[in-house]
Amino acid sequence: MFRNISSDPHARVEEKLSEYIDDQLAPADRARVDAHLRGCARCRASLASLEWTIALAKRAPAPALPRGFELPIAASPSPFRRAVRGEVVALRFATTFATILLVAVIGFDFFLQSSALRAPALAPGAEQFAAPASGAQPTAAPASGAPPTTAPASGLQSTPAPRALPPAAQPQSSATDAAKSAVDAASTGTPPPKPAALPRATTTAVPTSQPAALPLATPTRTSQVEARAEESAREDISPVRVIEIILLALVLAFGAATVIARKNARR
Amino acid sequence: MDEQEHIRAAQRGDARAFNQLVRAYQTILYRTAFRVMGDSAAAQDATQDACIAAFKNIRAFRGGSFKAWLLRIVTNACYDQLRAKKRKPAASLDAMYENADDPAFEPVAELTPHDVAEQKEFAQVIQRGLQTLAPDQRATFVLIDMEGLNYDEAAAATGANIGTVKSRLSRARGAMRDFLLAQEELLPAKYRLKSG
Repeated sequence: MFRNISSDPHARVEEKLSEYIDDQLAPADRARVDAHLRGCARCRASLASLEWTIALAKRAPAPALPRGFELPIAASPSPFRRAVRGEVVALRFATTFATILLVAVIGFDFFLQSSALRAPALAPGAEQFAAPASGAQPTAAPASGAPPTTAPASGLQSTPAPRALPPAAQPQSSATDAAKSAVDAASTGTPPPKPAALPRATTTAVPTSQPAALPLATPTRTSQVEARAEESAREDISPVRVIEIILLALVLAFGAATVIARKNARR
Repeated sequence: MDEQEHIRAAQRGDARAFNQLVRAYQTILYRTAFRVMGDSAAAQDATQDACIAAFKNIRAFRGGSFKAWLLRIVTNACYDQLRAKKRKPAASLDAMYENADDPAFEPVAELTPHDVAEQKEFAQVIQRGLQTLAPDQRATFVLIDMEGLNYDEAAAATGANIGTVKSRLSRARGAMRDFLLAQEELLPAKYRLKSG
């Protein structure tokens, strides 16, 4: 029922006749077809009918053009439109550039924050250095009864514990004396001598020693809380954040301008 | 201005230069569209769509045969219309050919009214034969055997390789031959094979 084309020589030649007519066969194939056609009337008739078909197609009447297909001249972009198109390209470039900068700054900010998170781990270790020095006079502060509230207070906040070490020796001795005289006064009933000079000395001393007089855990927690407060205060005014906000605003502005310019270009 | 200068001007947005190109090629574009579509209205739509698409994409033309590039666009426009027609079939083919408003053919001087009628009949038989072919075979047959493109130009115009073009053309010619032999009595006597 189905002819095996590869084994049927007429079918193989029939397949090649179209290319044979157009002289598109390789020389070897052309020679084989020529040889077959010389001895096969059926294939010669097939060739003739194909050539007749092609000739008819070439002679077929051509349909007349019903109208012109030129475009209306308004289709041409005016110089204004060309300028708007250039504007669109420039705005697109600016949007892309601002976006890349924003991504880079955010990446940099992220890197900074991850570095800062590792830094606070050193603070507890540093405070432990101050603790042994403060262990000598745990009662000094409560005994004095009049802890300095002005300069020392600020000194307390501003002076980090490790700095307490060098000046601790002197103030410790004067604070010890003051504590001792206060205890003596309390036991004897006499008012303790007003350490008039002492507060001044103590003023300078207490800021450094008073933190040391507090129990071990408290300075750590307080200074950590204070450090975090300082950090969050710094975060509010971080210049990197300011740059991020500015870049974000630029990306949004350029993007909106691009959309508007494209709409204008299409009109 | 020669064709290359018109093309460069059109690529800069000069619609007047583009229209010069349209005037040079619109006949072959419409003829191809008509023979592929078989209908004047559809052929006009496809040709107009092709001209608009060509203007919009003229910057994408990078050299080579501008004719083949335009024919590629109009062939694709025809394929799009044929696909759309398949989804929404319209009037019958016979009704289209009997329509008195169907396009006239290019006038040939010194033809008697009898000759004109004969020509119209002949054109209708050829067009019926074309409509029996698959769209890709039809386009290839029209471009090579009716519009005179060579294999390379036809490959560029249909977006196929040379081997595919040869294969499509061979099948198209065989199918047209079989159709015309079956309809030979409808052909004017001077066009029949046996009278050859």
